[in-house]
Amino acid sequence: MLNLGPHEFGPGALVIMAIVNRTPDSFYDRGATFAFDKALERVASVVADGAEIVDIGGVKAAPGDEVDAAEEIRRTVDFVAAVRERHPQLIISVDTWRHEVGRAVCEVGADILNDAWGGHDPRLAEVAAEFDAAIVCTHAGGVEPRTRPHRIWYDDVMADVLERTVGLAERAAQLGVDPSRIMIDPGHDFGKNTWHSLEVTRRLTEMVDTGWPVLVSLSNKDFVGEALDLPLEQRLLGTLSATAVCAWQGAQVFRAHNVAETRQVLDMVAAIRGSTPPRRAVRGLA
Amino acid sequence: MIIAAASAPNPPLLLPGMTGAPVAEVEQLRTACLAAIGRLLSAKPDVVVVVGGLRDAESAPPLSLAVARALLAEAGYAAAVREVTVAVTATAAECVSAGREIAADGAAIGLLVMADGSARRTLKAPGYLDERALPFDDNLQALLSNSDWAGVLELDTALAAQLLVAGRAPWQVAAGALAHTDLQATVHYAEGPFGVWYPVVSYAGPHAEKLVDETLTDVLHASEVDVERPTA
Repeated sequence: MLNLGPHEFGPGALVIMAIVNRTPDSFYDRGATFAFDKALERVASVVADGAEIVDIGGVKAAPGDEVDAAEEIRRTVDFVAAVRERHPQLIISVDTWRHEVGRAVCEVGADILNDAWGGHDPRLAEVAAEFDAAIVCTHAGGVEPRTRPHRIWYDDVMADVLERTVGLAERAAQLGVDPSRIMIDPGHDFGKNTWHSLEVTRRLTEMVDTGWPVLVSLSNKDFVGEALDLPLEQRLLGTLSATAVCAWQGAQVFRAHNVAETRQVLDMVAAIRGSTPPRRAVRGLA
Repeated sequence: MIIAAASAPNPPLLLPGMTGAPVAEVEQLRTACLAAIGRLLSAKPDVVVVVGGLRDAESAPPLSLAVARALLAEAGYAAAVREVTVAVTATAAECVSAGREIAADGAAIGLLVMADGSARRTLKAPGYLDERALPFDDNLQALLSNSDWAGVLELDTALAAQLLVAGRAPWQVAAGALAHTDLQATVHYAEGPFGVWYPVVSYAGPHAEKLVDETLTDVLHASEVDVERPTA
């Protein structure tokens, strides 16, 4: 069971978390939705395309211009409030590792704190508990936020992923976060080279088997680009293939740029799995 | 004695859940079938006798009876049912004999015939287009709506088989059973949305309540188009 905001998702549900960047420099959209009104348009668009969650980020993941907590708050808090006002039922996530930001966005209606840097700020989970918010416990290999992996080595990458994410999830629960509001994320490309990201994708059932709902963030990432040797703008098919493989293994939440395409892939997986009937089966049955 | 009757098609599409999500054309057909069966049941028969075709080496229950059971259940009928199958290759003589045997029963019978027209009406039809299909079905519609049972018995058996008319034998059983009745036909539906002709007709005595059904009007005015999606 997964509870996000006022919504409840059963074990077979496949949920899309659409990426909405309030950044001038994020890798995929390169500032396209940095402006307040452009970001609001993006929210309306992804909701229309079938996203249940929006994940609002004020700091790009890769190294770049310094964004301090005050600036991150400036980029996210008013925007979260505006989205909450316009979309009362929408699940709002904020991509941040800082507890000060987490507190500020929860005060204006955020439902999820997407801690993509692996519990770097241990107080973020306390904020989630305080506001009855959900939290994403991500594997980032213990690296500092906004750093690139450099010669990172694991004896067994999935063992490290399991140890860290389950550890974070159990800690969050002990701090008082509702266990049905805790997700784990293998953190593709975070503290990982392409071999690592492919391996955690291939072995994702090991995460699913922990019982914690699994979120994957695959969209247009470098492991897709390197697997296929394709530039950023040609990674959609690779992303969708990885999406299908993860969904088939039991991942439940999919953080994505390309919502309509992702929705179609997840609906197809659900039909193959037999959890959702075909929309229109008439062939051979007339 | 047969006091009322209905004819309904038996595509697998009418089995519960078979289309996945509800499909508008199928639901329209189902609504018409339930209207026809409702009219049959309103005559308050002691027993419903279902006549269904039996294809070669078909497992139990055959499709025709499975669809009939589903429709009767959806119509809320849980009383006596007798099921009669007829080989889809049976001769007209065999059929009429089986029909007379049904009618000879002293109980008040509601006869439910599971039968469809040609499956070769369009290019996208299951059996591909045969130009003879539409005239054949048009003739069938005239016979069924006029209760012309003698005409039903004269159907060209070989042509019906070529045109994949699954209902020829069950209709000829009905012809044997209904030959000496004065039941009047109401056509509830007569379309072929997937290239197969699905007539839905009910038959009631001259004193039966006249059917007033607004959905029927819509059905009869709906144009027949082949809306089957392109397939691999």
